[in-house]
Formats: sequence, structure tokens, C-alpha cells
Amino acid sequence: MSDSSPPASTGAQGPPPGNRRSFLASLAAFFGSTLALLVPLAVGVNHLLHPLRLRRRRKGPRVPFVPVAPLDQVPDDGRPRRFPVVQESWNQWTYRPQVPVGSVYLVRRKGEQVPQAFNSRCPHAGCTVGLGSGEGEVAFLCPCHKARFQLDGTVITPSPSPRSLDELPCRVEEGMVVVQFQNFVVGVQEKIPET
Amino acid sequence: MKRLLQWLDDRTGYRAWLGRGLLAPLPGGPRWHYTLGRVLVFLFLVQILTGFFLWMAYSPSETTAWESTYYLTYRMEGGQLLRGLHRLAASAMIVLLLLHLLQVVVSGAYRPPREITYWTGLLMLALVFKLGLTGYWLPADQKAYWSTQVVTSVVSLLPGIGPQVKQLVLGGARYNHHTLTHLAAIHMGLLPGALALLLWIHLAQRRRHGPLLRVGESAEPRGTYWPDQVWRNALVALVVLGALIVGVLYYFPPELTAPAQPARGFAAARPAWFFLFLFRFRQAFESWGPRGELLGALVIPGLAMLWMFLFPLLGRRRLGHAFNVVVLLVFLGTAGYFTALALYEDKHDRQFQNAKWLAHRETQTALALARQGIPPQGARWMMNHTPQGRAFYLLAGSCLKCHSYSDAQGRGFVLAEPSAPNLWRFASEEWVAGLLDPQKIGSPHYFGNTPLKEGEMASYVRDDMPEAEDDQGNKLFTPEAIQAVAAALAAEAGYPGLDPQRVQRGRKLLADDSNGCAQCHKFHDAGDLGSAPDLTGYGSREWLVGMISNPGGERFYGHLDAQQQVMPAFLAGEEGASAEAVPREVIQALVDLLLADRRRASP
Repeated sequence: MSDSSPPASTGAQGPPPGNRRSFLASLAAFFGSTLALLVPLAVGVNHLLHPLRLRRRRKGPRVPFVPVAPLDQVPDDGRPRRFPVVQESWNQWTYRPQVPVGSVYLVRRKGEQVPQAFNSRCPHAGCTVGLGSGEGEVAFLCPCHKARFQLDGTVITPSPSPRSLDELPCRVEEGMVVVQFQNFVVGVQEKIPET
Repeated sequence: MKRLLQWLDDRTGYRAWLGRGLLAPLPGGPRWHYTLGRVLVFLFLVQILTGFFLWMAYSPSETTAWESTYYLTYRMEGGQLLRGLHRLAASAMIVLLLLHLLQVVVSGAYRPPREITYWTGLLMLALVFKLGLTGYWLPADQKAYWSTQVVTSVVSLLPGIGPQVKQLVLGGARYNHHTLTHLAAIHMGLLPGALALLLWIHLAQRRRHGPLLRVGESAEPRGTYWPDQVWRNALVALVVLGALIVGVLYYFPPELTAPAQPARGFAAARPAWFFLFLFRFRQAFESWGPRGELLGALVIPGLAMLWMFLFPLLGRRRLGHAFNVVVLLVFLGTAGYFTALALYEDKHDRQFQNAKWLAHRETQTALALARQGIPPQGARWMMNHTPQGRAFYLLAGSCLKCHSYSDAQGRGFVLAEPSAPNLWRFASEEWVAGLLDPQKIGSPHYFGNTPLKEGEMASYVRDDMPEAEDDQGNKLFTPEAIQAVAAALAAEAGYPGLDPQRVQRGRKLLADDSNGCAQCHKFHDAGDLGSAPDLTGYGSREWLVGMISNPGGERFYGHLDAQQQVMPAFLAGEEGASAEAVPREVIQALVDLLLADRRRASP
């Protein structure tokens, strides 16, 4: 119908004055052609919107605690150590029961039983934060834009990162460190969970 | 706004362009029959739109094509409508294209000076068939895979270049990842692009030569293309679109058979309906060997196509035109005849119906497994390695070689010569009642084609049971008593909705070791093993798993000799186990499949 659905301008030009039948025919031609093409377009767009609807539905269930490492593998002198987080993962049709989905830093200070857990993702742009020295002592250092964080996660200003490292709820259960692993929206000051 | 349009016109001259086409007076006025060609253009646009969104979700590779098609069809909202619309619109395009061809040839609109319009139209017809073919292959399901195999094998018969063409299309010696990337590029890029180019020439020619008016028809302009013809086109397009949507929602949902299984085969392989004529036509030449195949599948259809290209040359004379019309009708009639023949033969071919039934169950198994998530190795691996997938192939490849699986109406899997009892609703009230019927126990439905036809049970049912009496001299196995035994065994098997009193009465007869069943059979505490199968838990999950694992075990048919005990053990590691023997969890999955079927009205 490349030549039967003209630009709207033709419709806007209107029919010859005084020709009522022709005006109705123009209306029918314009809206009929438009509708005929809009319906298949709508069928396709509706299909494409699937991920947005999925996101709305997924809100609700609590973030589960996942085991990350045995407590005795976490140094008790305050040095941070990074552990992968292995979880089940859905990738459209593919299901993997065990796959690394991210990593966390566990920091256990002298004399403390329960470590502190940080998501290793930099709150600035989402790179994985490494370790480096700043002001003479060990600190978190992001390789991408040099954001630095103290060992308790606090951002060292001035910094490209809008907030401190994202701390995650952490417990010790039967000798295993379990963490409520979650990613947060990067680039903003507030800590907003990603859906 | 006016100034903007003026600016646009100064640069593009669109007003003159519109004036020459859309707004020009229409010689002879608008016509309803002009809408056919326009609706085809509309359907092409529908295919581009729906195809684009399918493309957004499709992933061409051997381990993702089926998987992404499954996901975009069944897991994304509106997937069935989207894919169904694309599929049905393709069929509609074929039908309407043939009608358009008929219209053009009968009316003589192919004759000079409209040869180019006609030739581009024929080329587009060929392209639409190729779009249909490649589109049918993209999901990489069983139907697609075997169709790909058949067509590329025919192509490889082409003298000289055949094998090379086949390898180029497949992207290698065998079906592989690149087969699907190639098909996707051909289906989504090359063919629609070529079609768009031809359509542009076709429409430009149509505009240049105007409509063909019938002899005596006034060529006096009446109305303009816009809006007088356009509203008619739009109305017909909307009606066709509405019919397609209703068709998808109620009659032709999109189909996806099980993932391709190159090593297992697929007896229900058939091309898409619009290639069925070629499928059957080719068969007519099969006895001629590879030459005949080539003749039937490529040479003769190619010559027919070539002949149609020559219509304009013959059509100058009136007699030539009449001849052309007859030839086209013969071509279409032949294609129609072979299509109908193929459909008719399949409908009356029990083996094909069995294959179709198996394909349906295979599909259901695959879809149910896919819902739980497809492993990274892909859906074929899933079907070949999960207990449920392997259980289906055990049923198809082993059980149904000897057993039928069909109801009284003949629905399901029907072997012409079953050599073992029918498994449909095994151990149900009606199944057991039939076994205990002297007329039926010797039929193929039960022991008719097994060594047990002359066994102790058969002769007992035929000769002794009608005479059996209780201690008071009353007939023991009255029709009601047999029903009761059937009910009691069905209760053992776990069938729901039985009459408790009847079951109670049946249990007494089963446990009666002086005149009843427990003379030979063990039933709970009554009777002993060693002379007949255990009726305790007969037909239950546990009983069936044990029976399939090792039918020659003491609880089952261990009392028979080797000539009578013909069913092999299916549990891997058992003595004398079948070559198809499987681990226990596969047998359990098979039994679960059978038990789930008990809830169905028909197989």
C-alpha cells in the first residue's frame, strides 16, 4: 500500500469544497489505511514491551541470602577479600542453576565475628572495584575512573562516585557467610535496588 | 504549515508526484477487483512489521533457534498472536497471489505492453514461495529440520553445481550454526529486499500503463485514486486483517514441534501446505531414481514456471490468450490435485497418523520441559538427557513397537499388528473387564498376538472361569463379580472415582485362594508368587516401574519360560536387558507419563 496511504498532508488538504461524499471517502481512506497498518504494528510493539511488564511483576519477593564463603576463608585482620556470588540465573529461555552473578568484598575487622559485605560494583559507572593504596593505606580503588573508598566503604572525596560502596546485609550461618546479594542503580546518590 | 509544505515541495516536488499518481483522475473509475493487488502489498507490509518484531526476539544458531522461537511464542505476551499472524499472513499471501495471477491472466492484463508488470509479478510469486520455505525452516524444530534436509538434498542432485550449492546454503557439509545464520539473512534481508525492489518496478509499471479496461468499458475518468480507490483498498485490507486475527486466535495458532533430532528421525515430516503439491508430485517420480527426483522436484516445476514467463509472447493473438488461460488452469489444477492427494493419503495412512500422534506428544514433552528452563546445551540436549525426554523416546522407540496405545475410537497410536496388549488405560476398570471377557482376551487388544494367547490365564478365562463356583455351588464369576474384580484392580492401580462397595466385593474374590484369583496370583496377604503376576498394587506406579524394569522378575512373569516371556527388561544392568535399557529415573518418568495420561479422555 505504498502508494495508497499518502502522507497525512493530503488528508489535511481536504476534499474539493462542497463535495460531501468525497470528504467521507477521504476520511474512510485515511483512517482505514492507518488502522490497517497500526494493528500489526501494535501486535509487534505489544510483544516488544514484554521486559517492561516482566519487571513490574518481579517486584515483591524478598532478596534471598546466598552463601558466599566459609567464615574461615575471610581474613580477620581487616583486609578485604573478594568472593564471587553464585546463584541460579535465567537468561530468557536458558536456565543455569549455578552461575556467578557478581561478587562481594568481605571485610572482617580484628575481633569481630561477622564481616561487613560490599557489592564490588562501583556506584559510579558499574565497574568492578579493585584494591589499591590511597594516602599510604590500603583502600578500594575503581580502575575505570579512579573512585576511591575507605575500607568501611565510605567514598573518599572528591570522587566521581556519587555515594559510598553499597553495603549488603550479611550474616554468619553455620560457619558460612551469607549475603543478601543485590545490585543498585549506578550514577545516583540514593541507593536504589535494581529490578 | 503551508510554508513548510511549500518549502518541502520546492525541494522534492512531491505535489506533482502525488498529482501524477494518487490525485490523478482514474480512467474508468474505482473498482473493487483492483483491491486484490493492493491487499497483497498490504500483506507484504504486515510481514515486514510482524517480521521485524519476530527478528528482535529470534536467535539463529543450532542451540538457540528453537529455544528463542519457543520463548518468543509461548513466554512473551502476545507471542502466539505475533508469530501466528506472520505465519497465517504468509499463507494468505500465497492464496491471494495465486488468485491475483489468475485474475491477471484471465483478464489478459499480462499482454503487451504490460509484460514487465507480469514478469515482476511472477518473480515475486517465486520469491514469496522461497520466503515461505525459509520461514518454515527458521524455528529449527523437527518439521523444519527434516524439510531442510529434503530440500537441500534435492538441490544437491543438480548436475555439477548441486553439492556446492547445498554446502553454501547449509554453511558446511551438515546442518550447523551457519545454516541458521544463512537462512535468517536470506529470509530477513535478501528475499524481502529483492521483493521490495520488484514491487517498486511492478507498481511503477502499473501506474505507467494504468488499469486494463474491458472492451467497451468507458475510459472516461471518474474520481481519483485518492480517496475513491483507496478507501476500497483499506476496507478490504481491514477485512483480510480481521480474518487473519480471528484465524490465528481460534483456528490456526502458531505451531512449534519438538527441537530437531538429526539422530532420531521424524516420521511426521511434511513440508508447509503450499509445498505439499511438490512433495507429492515428486513422489510420483521416485521410482525413476535420483534423475526422477530432480525431474519431479525441480525440472518440471521450473519448466512450468518458464512457460508462464512466455505467456505474453503467445498472448498477442486471441487464440494464444485462450491457450494461456487453459495452461494456467491446468497448472493450478495439477498443483491443487496433488495437494489434495497428499492430504487425502496422509489422512488415511495409519502409519502417518501414528507418526503425527507421536510428533504431538514429542512436542508436548519438549514444551513442558522448556517451561522449567532450557539448559545452556540447548533443547535437543534437554530432550536427550532429561528423564522425561528419554522416557518419551523410550515410549516411542521401544514400547510402541509392540504395544498399541489407543482408545476404543481408534484415537492414539494404533499398530496394525500389535504383539502385546494395548496400554491405553491399562489396569482401569474397562481394561480389566475386557481381559476377563472370554471373547476379548484372545483379541489383539489383549493377548491375541502374544504367546500368552494359549497361556494358563487365557484358558482359565475362556474355559474355567464361567464354570467356577463357590463352596455353596453358586456361580462365582457373574458379570457383576467380574465388574467387581475389575474395580478392585483399578483401585490397586490408583484410578479414582470407583464404587467402594464394588471394590470391597472384588477384593474378596481376588483374595479367595480356594476358588478365586489367589489360587494362582498373590494378592496382599493371600496367595503366593511363582505361578502368576502379583496383583498387589497391580498397575500402580511402583508395580509398573518394577514390571518395566524387569518383566521376568519373580513378581511379574518370571514363571514363564523364555518362549513365552518376550518383553525384555528395560532397567540398565538387569540380566538380559534390552539394548534400549535405561536408568531407573527414566523408567519412573515413563510411568509418570502413563499415569498422567489416565487423566485424559483420549490418548
